[in-house]
Parts: sequence; structure tokens; C-alpha cells
Amino acid sequence: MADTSASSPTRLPGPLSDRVAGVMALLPASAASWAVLVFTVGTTLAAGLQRHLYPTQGPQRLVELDLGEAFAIAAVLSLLLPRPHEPLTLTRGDRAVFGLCALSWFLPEPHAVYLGMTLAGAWLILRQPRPGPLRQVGQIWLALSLCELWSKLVFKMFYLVIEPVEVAVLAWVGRMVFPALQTEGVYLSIRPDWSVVMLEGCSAFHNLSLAALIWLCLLAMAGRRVDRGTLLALAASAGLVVAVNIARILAMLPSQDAYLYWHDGTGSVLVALAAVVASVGPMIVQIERAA
Amino acid sequence: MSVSVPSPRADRILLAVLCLLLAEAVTAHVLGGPDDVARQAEPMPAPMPAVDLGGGASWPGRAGDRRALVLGGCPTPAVVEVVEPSPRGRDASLVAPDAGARVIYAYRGRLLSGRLATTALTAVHFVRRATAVLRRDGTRAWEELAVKVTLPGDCAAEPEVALYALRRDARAG
Repeated sequence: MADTSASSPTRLPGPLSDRVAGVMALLPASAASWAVLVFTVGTTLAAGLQRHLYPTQGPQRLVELDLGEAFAIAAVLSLLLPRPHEPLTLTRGDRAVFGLCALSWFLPEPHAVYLGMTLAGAWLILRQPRPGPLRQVGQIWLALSLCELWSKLVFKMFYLVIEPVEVAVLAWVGRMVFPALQTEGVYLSIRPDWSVVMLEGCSAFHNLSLAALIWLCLLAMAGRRVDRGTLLALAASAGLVVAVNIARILAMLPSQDAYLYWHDGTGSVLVALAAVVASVGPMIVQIERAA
Repeated sequence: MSVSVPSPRADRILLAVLCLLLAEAVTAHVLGGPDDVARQAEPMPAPMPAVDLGGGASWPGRAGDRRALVLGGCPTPAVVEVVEPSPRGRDASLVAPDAGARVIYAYRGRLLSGRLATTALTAVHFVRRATAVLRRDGTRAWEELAVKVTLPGDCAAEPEVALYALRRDARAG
């Protein structure tokens, strides 16, 4: 890539400007690619900015959300970068849809900002003719907005239906470790004086949708198709993510100190890191093995 | 269907429009942000939000307030609780009750009952919030509360009867 910048006629003298020119040469040359990039980054920026301005979110949640957005931006970049001399072709409809959907950046709620991205993503997937990179960009937009907006909405609405199922799985696994494990509704306990309640933040549901998004992004970045190997990697990620969450909640059961360590202390950071490794690891192994 | 003709000029116009919109949105959120934060951080101002029970009655209180409600045909009184209408963070108030007990909600003048009452409550709340967001209507919809009535297992009262009793208590103060 350094060769491209060296041969560029608009090169400025000096090592730093060489570096800058080198980076610029990597960026997509066409305005269409830039528009796709600005739409992606703009949506995450409008949502992220509002999220950081509201003090109600915990640090762990923030890190996880930002991770999904970072992967999506990286994936969109990797779809645009390899074709500096083969610009994307946008239709008149594309331009109108992007412009209109960008208006959702002004919505005064960080999740609602993703409404526009859902619509634009659906448009790119459903429209005719279906070009390769733009269709993939549409898939990533749709997956990101599903992860950030729709899956949360569905989860909150069906919390009372989903949570007992999760508690049942947890109790089934947990009895292997703690034979005295008792459940009552969404309360779990192994001692009469201490119980843990499964609330919406405890669920592996969000982590699962994040794992699916990361899988799709890695698929796009590696230029791989959906096949048996990549699907197995997705299944492994999903299993690991659920396992990490179960282990975390079981670790909170013995005492209040254990709860504080795993819910708010160093333990919660370790869990977040483990969830990231579980989401990314299997796919990286799969991609490296194939290469 | 649009015709796929490359038009670098139109693409550049789109890019410029997107950049302008982004700059505007960022400015709006950064300038609007501290206000919203202050509004959220401050405790609720003097007239406390009341839950509309319908029929001209409203139930005062903050999230977490509890009271007993005596109902005809119920040996043990029902529990009335002011709750936030969507599950959030560490708030356990929407968690399902003990086996046998039934839950009904009063929210924005509506009675929500049955097995999926909590799901219906969250759905109504999100529709309300979505409307407020699309109208750029401030954060009032966020502060709305609901009244949850837990009818014990040995209580045969109909949801409507519980709602009438609730309205009666609310009017009596």
C-alpha cells in the first residue's frame, strides 16, 4: 500500500505527510463509498454520543455496545477498501433512502437512532438489482440495528416469557455444581439467607445477538461465505457465550461478596472479556484454519 | 425501480448532505445533552407524577411505593405498587409473582390483565415512547409510571373489580 502513496502525484514532502498520504490512499476514492461510510459512522456516533451523555448505563454495557459498533464499522470499511478503482454505484433510490434515513440521527433516544439504519439496510437487501458489496453492507446495517434496537425491544417485551426458560437451563446446569440449588420464579439460591434474582441485564440474550453480529462482520471481513465451518463457529460462539453467562451467575450464588465481585467488581470485567473472546475466538480459529 | 447509472456528482451531493446532517445531529446532541442529563439527574419536581387510572381517577406516588388494597371476596388484601412500565437494570418490580397470584396493571387509563399483562404493559409503554421519540417530544414518556396490583392466590375478584376499588381509594385519597 505504501507504493500507492509513493506514486501519488499530489504527494507532499516530509515523512508525516507521506504517512498521511499512505492512509488516504487506503481510503475509498469514490464519493459513493464515502457516503456509505459516513452513514455507518454517523449512526453509531449519534447513538454513542447520546448514550455517553446519559449517566444511566453501566460501564460494562457501554463496552459491549461499542464493540458491536466497532466491528460493524470495521466490516463496512473492509467491504469498501478493496475497490478504490472500482467505485460503488448508487441508484437514485439509494441516495434518497440514505438521505431520508439519516434524519433518524436527530431522534432524542440512543436506540431509536438505529431506526434509519434498519430501513436503509432493508432497502439495500431487498432492492433490485442486487450488487455484491452494497448487499453485504445492507446485511451488516440490518444486523447492527437488530442488535442495538430491535432485539432489545423484543427482549424487554418478552422478558417474562424468556427469563423462566433461561432460569430453567441455569438451574439444570447449576445442580451439577450446587446440588442444593433452589429456584423460585426467577430467584435462585443455594442458601436460605441469600438469593439472586435474574433481571433483564443478567440475560445472555444481548450477548447472543452481539455474537451473531460479530460473526457476520468477521464473515464479511474475511470474505467468507456461509458454510458448514462458519456455521459451526457461530454455534460454538453462541454456546460459549451462554456458558460464560451461566458460570457468572452461578459464581454469584455462594455469598453477597461473591455477588459483588462478579456483578460489579473485577469479576464483571473478566466476564465481559471472556464474552468477547467467546464471540470472536471460534470464528478467528475457523478463518485461520481455512487460510 | 431506480436506474443504476453512476453519477459522481449526485454521490458528492449525497455525501455533503450526510456530512451536514451529521454535524447538525452531533451539535444538537452535545448541546441538548447536558440539559437532558440534568433533567434526569434531578429528583422529580414538586407535583409528583400520578398514574391515570381512567374514569377521572389517578394514583399518586413514586416508583416503589406500596400499599395494601382491601377487596371484597379476598381474605388477604391485594398489594398495590407503583412501578416503571418496562424492565430496566436492577428493578425487580415487574418480575412475575408467586404461583397462584395474579397481576393486573393500570397504565394511562387502561386496565391490563391476563397472562400476558406485563408484556402488554411493556408494549403499550414502548408504543407511547416511540410516539414521543418520533415527535421529538422530550423525555416525559420516560417518567410515566404504572400501578401494579398483585391479587393473592385466594382472591377471586375480577380485574375490573380491583380497578374500581383502586379508583375508589384514589378518590378517597
